[in-house]
This record gives sequence, C-alpha cells and structure tokens, in this order.
Amino acid sequence: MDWAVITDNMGYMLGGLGLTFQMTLIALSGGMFLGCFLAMGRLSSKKWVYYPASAYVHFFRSQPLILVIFWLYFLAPVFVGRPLGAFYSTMIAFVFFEASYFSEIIRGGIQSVPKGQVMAAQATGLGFFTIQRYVVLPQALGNMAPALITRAIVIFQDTSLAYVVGLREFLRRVNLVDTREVRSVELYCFAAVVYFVICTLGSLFADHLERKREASKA
Amino acid sequence: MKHMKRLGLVCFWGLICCLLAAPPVFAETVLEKIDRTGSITMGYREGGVPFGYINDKGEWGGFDMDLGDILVQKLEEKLGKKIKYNKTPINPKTRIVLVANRTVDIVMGATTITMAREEVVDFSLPYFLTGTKVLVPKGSSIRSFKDLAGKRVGAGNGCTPHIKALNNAIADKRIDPACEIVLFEDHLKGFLGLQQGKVDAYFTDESMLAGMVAKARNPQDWEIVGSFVTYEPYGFILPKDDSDWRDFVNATLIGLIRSGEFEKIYEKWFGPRGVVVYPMSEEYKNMLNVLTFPE
Amino acid sequence: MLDYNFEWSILWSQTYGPWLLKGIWTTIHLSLLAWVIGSMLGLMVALARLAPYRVVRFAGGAYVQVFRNIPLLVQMFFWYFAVPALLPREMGRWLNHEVPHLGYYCGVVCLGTYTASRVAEVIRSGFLAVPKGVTMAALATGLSPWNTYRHVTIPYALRISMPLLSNEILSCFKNSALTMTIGVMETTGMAGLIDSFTFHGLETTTAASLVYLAITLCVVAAFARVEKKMRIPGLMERSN
Repeated sequence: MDWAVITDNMGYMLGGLGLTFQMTLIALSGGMFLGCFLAMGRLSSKKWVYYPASAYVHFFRSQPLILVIFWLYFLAPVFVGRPLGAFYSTMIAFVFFEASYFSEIIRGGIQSVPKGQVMAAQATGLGFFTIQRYVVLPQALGNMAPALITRAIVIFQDTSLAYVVGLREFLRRVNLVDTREVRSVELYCFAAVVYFVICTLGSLFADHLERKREASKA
Repeated sequence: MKHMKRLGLVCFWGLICCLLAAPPVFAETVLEKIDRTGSITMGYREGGVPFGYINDKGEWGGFDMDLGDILVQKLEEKLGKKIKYNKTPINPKTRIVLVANRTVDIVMGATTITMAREEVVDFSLPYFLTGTKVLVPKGSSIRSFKDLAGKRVGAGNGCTPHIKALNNAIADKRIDPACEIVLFEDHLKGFLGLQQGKVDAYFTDESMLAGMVAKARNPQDWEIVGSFVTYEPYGFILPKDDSDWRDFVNATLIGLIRSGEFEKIYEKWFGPRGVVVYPMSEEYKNMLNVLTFPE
Repeated sequence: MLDYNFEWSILWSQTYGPWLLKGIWTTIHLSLLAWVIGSMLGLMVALARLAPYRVVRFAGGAYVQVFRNIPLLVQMFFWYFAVPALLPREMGRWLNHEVPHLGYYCGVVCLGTYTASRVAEVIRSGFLAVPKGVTMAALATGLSPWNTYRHVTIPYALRISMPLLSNEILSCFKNSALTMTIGVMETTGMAGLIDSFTFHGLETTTAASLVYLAITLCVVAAFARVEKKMRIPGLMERSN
C-alpha cells in the first residue's frame, strides 16, 4: 500500500467535491420544482392531467439513471438537432429523473395532512394560498423532511455516474489520478471514506429530524 | 389549487415544446461554424497516458493536445481572429458518437481508423502507428498471440477492433481452444485485473501497453510479447462528409511532419526522456515519410 | 433532427439479437439472485437493529450506514478488486485464478449487500409500525416471546412493508446496470457493446429502456397481486 498518492493529490481530488455539491444542489432544487407540479398532477382528479403525470413518474422510475444520462448526452442531440454539452445534458437528465422521485415524496407529504384540517381552515374563511402557506405546507414539509434529506444523499452519491459523460466531479478526479499513478485500491479506499463521512453526516441529520418529529408528535 | 394545476400543466408542456423546437444548425460546414461562432470544440482523452491525461499538477495535457494546440493556432491564422478553444473529455466509448452527433468538431484521441467507424464518421490521415500485442507477467507461458488458447484474456470495453480480432481468431481456429474474453471498463482496470491474476494476459495497442508498464510498481515484472497481431493506425475523428474541414486538418498535419515539428513533439512525449518511452518503429517512420506529400 | 439511419433490424439480427437476449437474461437472474441475498440479509439486519442487545443493535446500524453511504459504483469496485486482495492469500488467489466469471458473482454479492441495507430500513419501519397492542395481545394469549415474534410480529411487519419492498426490488433491477463497470454484460452493458460494434446507439438504447420498462411493469403487476393477498384487512388502504 502506498498512501502518499493520496496526500500528494488531495487538493486536486477534493477540488472535485465543488462540482459534486453543485450538481447535487441543481438536481435537488430542479427536481423538487418539477416534482411539485408532477405531484399536483398525480393528486389531480382530472384524467388528462393525472395520466400524463403518472406515466411520466412511472416511466422515469423504471429507468436506470445511467441510461437516462446516456439518452440525454448522446441521443438527445440527434432529436433536438444540436449538442447540449456535458454539464447541461447531465443536469437535465438529473432533474427529469429526480423529479419523478420527488413527486412521490411530495405527494406523500401532502397526503399526510389530514383532510379535516383543510376543511376546518376553509370553514374559518381562509383562502387557498393562505391555507397552503399556513396549514398544509408547514406540516407536509415537516413530514417530508427526512425523506427529502435521504433522497439528497442518494443524489449526492449518484452524481458519481456523471463519469460516463466525462464531467470531472470527485470520483472522476480520483479515477483520473488513478490512470496516472496506477494505485487503484488506495484511491478507491480514499473515495469511499470521503463519501462515507459526508453521507453519514447527512443521514445522521435526517435521523435527528425524524426523532424530533416523533417527539413533537408524542 | 386550480391555478397551480394549470400553471403546472403549462410548465410541463412548455418544457416539452422547448425541447422539441430547438432549431437545428447543421447545414453549415465545421469551418463556417467556427468562423460564425468564433469557437471550436475539441475532444481529448483524459486517461490515455501520454496522449491525453491529467498530470501531477492537475493539468490536462499530452501528445494529442500539443498537436491540437497547433491546429487551433493554424486555424486562427487562417480565419484571422481569436478562437475560443473548448476542450471536451472523451473516452473510447463516447468518442465516435460525440462527433457523429456534432457535440465536438474533432476528436484527437488515439483512435484507430477502421472501416466500420468510417461509415459513421470520417478520419484524418493517420498520424500514429502502432499495433496490438499481448501483455503478460514475466515468465508466463504465453509467448505469442496463439498461446492465448484456453486462457483468460482482458480487453478494453470500448476497443471494438480488439474484441473483433479476438473473436475472429477464435472463429478461424487461430486460437484453439477458445479463450475467455474478460472486458474491463478501461485499460487501467484491465492492468489491475492482470496484476491480480483475474486474466492471464491483456490484449491492446502496444503504445497503451508501454504506458501501463511504465507506470507499474515494478516495470521489470512485465513483458510485451509477440509481434503485431493487427496494425493500428491512429487518426483524428472528423464529422462525416465535410471535406473542407478534413483537408484543413490533413494539411496542418502534413505541414507539421514536413517541418520536423511533429518529430519534436513525439520526442517530448515518447522519446528517451518522455513520459512513456516508445521509440518509433520502422513502419511508423516510413508511414510519416510517405505522408510528406508534395506541395 | 439530424439525419440518422434507423436500422431496427440489428436488434434481432443473427449476431446481435442473441447478444441482447443474453444481456436481458443476465439482468434478470443477476437481479433476482441479488434480491434473494438482499431480502434475507436485510431481514436479519432489521432484526439486529431491533434486538435487545446494544452491541447487536450497533452492528446492525453500522451495517446500514456503511452500505447506504458509499456509492454503489465504488462498492462494485471494492468487491471486484479490493476484496480478493484483502482476503488471505490462498483464498484471494483461488478467487482470482480459479473462479470463472468472477465479475458476475462480485456483482451479485455487491448488489445483494447493498440492497440488504435498504431492505433493512424498510422492514425496520414496518416493525415500528406494528401496534404495541397486537404484540401485547399475543403475549396475553400465552404465546412465548419467541413465538410471538415468529408468528405475529414478523408476518405483520412484513405485510406492512410490502409496498415499499416492491420499490426496493425495482431499484435492485435498475442498480444491476452498474455491474457493467466490472465487466458483467447485462442489458445496459450489452446495449453499449452492440452500439460500439454497429454505431446504432439509438436503437440499442431504446431497446434497453424498453426492457427496463417491461421488467418494471411485470414486477408492479406481480406485486399488486401479492399485496392484495397479503393486505391486512381493515388496516391498509394503498393511497392512490
């Protein structure tokens, strides 16, 4: 084992975490935005809204992410007629893909709020947006928070799949150092430790939120 | 709720329309496009020492990239303006499709010219010549290509010509009994597999094998055996049916060879003090001599 | 639209058709094997996480954290390259030299252990959702603690977790695509390989997408039947 390779290239490799976090953030916010609308579509009573939204969600949930990235980077240009670039096509793939997961989380969150509360709020004369703002969303968000954080951790790990299109995020940089230094086992150990530390912090935070929520319920 | 739903619907369909309605821009040649946009996108290897790789300072460079820098310089002279130079990473799996779908204008990435690839993209004249050989641990019983019979042989996932060469050899009994082909994501993983004994031999271009051995912990433990199984002339990948662009690339290459600049760049990367020591074979020297076309 | 020469026939041509079928078959048996490992190991880990002993609980929790918090891509690499190197010399040698298709077995184990960490979480939440009164009632009728566990709590928890378990089996199928990074030629890998031979990526990728869609539909349909049978009357209504 030759651990010097890690200390020598530490700066370069950790530099890739910037892009990893950036991608996670874009995928998270974009996915949640699109996911909100999809969730509303899935809760709608109108068939022509419900079915397209459901079809979208089920389709993307059936696909491996690696295939979706592949589609957008290599094959979308054939349809669209011009190249999208590695970063944009990957981010679009992530947003499309994650939206289907977020829509289910958000739908679950909204459904977790008892109907009676909305009715009660309506009865007191509150308007639609006021009800959403003060009654439904605060509770729904509280209920969704652990699931959202868990999903964020999954996205954080999934950004490593962007290696297929050559984006230089953390794992790709580790890989590139590997091609030069030929020290795979050491380098992958290092990558595993970095991911483990960051994701564990995240999941402990999610657990903490969950416990707090349970405590407030009891 | 109703407003929000309508808004959501508009966004959803709007997004789809945007994707479908983006205007196609392919009617022009690459040179026209570079002139119009003032930028060029070139694809390079990232993990191909020393063709294109990330050095210990985290910078991206290599033999192909030096040639690419000169090409851009010549392009600026021709068009008489500064050109924005986008470098895009490619790998053996993505390089063909990225040129075919016009994401990159040229790939300079140690790519073998094959007839199958010629059907979807075009190639420049060859600028590098190597051939496939077999890498084994020192003292292995495998001394040549036909000794691979019954063994486990590693090859790169995107290196179609090599997989085909092995399959053909099995089909016409040059390798008999058949060998088991184990595919690896990249040559590096393949070399790791060879070190661990997951495969008995690794089969790819000698130039790549030389690079792998040079970086190994104990280079003297490895040997490259046999003679060339196939010739592998490398060319730059260019979009199909764009002869102006291809002529320009070829003219630049011929100019470099004739002025002796090409040899200097080769020395820098493959010479005795280069990153990977790989002296030019006689065949390669002859090929370059042939390429110095008259004015 | 770029001019692209569609040639769907390569999907069932004499050379490539069997390749694709082989890839699909690999996806199916690899994922199912991994699922078997994942669900059994997952159940054990879930039980460990609820055990009355602190050490066992901690071990269960650590298992889940480790396997959930490292990207599957990195784990694949580990099982294939690092594990044989870390094992005792003779065993590592045997794995590397004697075992054919080592990548396949490593893929199964990797996917199985990863799935187990997720299944464990699902089952654990199922256990937590079993009303206390049910367990108490079982104990009150004179069942021993072990028999209560065996005949009341475990079946109840598993039935509650059913819908979420169907999600995990789907993830298992999708995640199997990553085994291509250790040289297993499953559907995605095979689609890529055929593409690199024929340069008809659109057709092969479409085929791969449809395969995953079909697998999903089959699993969803199968689980809908199982769920119907396993539903606890008067308790669960699947939100729709």
